Amino acid sequence: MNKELERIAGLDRLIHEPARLMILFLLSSCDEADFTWLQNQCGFTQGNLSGHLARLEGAGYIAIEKSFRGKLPLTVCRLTRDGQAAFRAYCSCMQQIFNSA
Amino acid sequence: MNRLTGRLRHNADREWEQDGLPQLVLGGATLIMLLGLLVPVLWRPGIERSWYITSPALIAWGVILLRYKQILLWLKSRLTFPRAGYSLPVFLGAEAADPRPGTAENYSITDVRATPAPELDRRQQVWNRVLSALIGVFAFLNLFIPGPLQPWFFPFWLLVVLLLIARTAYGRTPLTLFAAALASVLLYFVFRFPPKHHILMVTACFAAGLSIDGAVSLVLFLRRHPRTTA
Repeated sequence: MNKELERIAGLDRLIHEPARLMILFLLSSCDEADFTWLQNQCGFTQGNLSGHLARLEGAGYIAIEKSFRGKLPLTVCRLTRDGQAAFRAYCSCMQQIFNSA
Repeated sequence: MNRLTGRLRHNADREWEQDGLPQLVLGGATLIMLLGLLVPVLWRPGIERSWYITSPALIAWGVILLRYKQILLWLKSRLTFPRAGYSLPVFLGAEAADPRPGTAENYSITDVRATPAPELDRRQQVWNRVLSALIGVFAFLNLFIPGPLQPWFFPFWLLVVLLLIARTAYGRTPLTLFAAALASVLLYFVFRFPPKHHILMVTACFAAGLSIDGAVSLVLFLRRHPRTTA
């Protein structure tokens, strides 16, 4: 297979989805963030965001800590080291694809 | 992609200051310190007695400034996080790419928060050093020098230091602070206070400027983000 095309085939599909990419971009811009902040920034519905976060957590890309602030639930998310590495690899791969295009 | 990450990071950093609480905490701390210095000037008791009033105010000021981040987080968690959500800027947390062994999963969120980023560490060092020097000079000028001082040196030196503090503390110098600085210089020309009192006046202008800036920012922020029911 052509090397450039091979790069495209090797893209991380979990990250490549726009909503999850948005979440990873946002989490890479801060140390940690809660569910409300992510929802405000992305404009997703609660269920949609929750689903994407669960998938990212399942892959080990983000860590989610659930606790309570008074009586309200608090869900704090942050990028794990694996998540950072995967995100960096994805960005570098995309950069190479665009450079060779 | 790096540029986008940079812009998003810049936005996240800016959001931390947008609610005005950093300015309010800093302005409030300075007002407390000012109270401690003004009371002896107004009441004019003996040096020994004025220490009883000045010292607690200076200690309270120091404690507020040393616990600056914790106080801010406490206030934000009650006022702004429930409305706009919570995000901890990178400059206040630990750089996740920090070269500690192990994986991020091994650290609790408290661990991650406990290690400041190098940038914050540097800021805090400058901040603490300048403030310690300022506290000493204030106490010295207010309590131990009875006569007039050099008329120009201290007001302008103080002005520079105060602007430096504001700049170091939260990364920007608001317009109100420049207005306060200008007001203090104008008041100096109008009233011709002795330098000792003028130093207190500069501090008052600075504290008022910061507090007004913080209060206005907070009100605007709360109006922009109405409370949502969970």
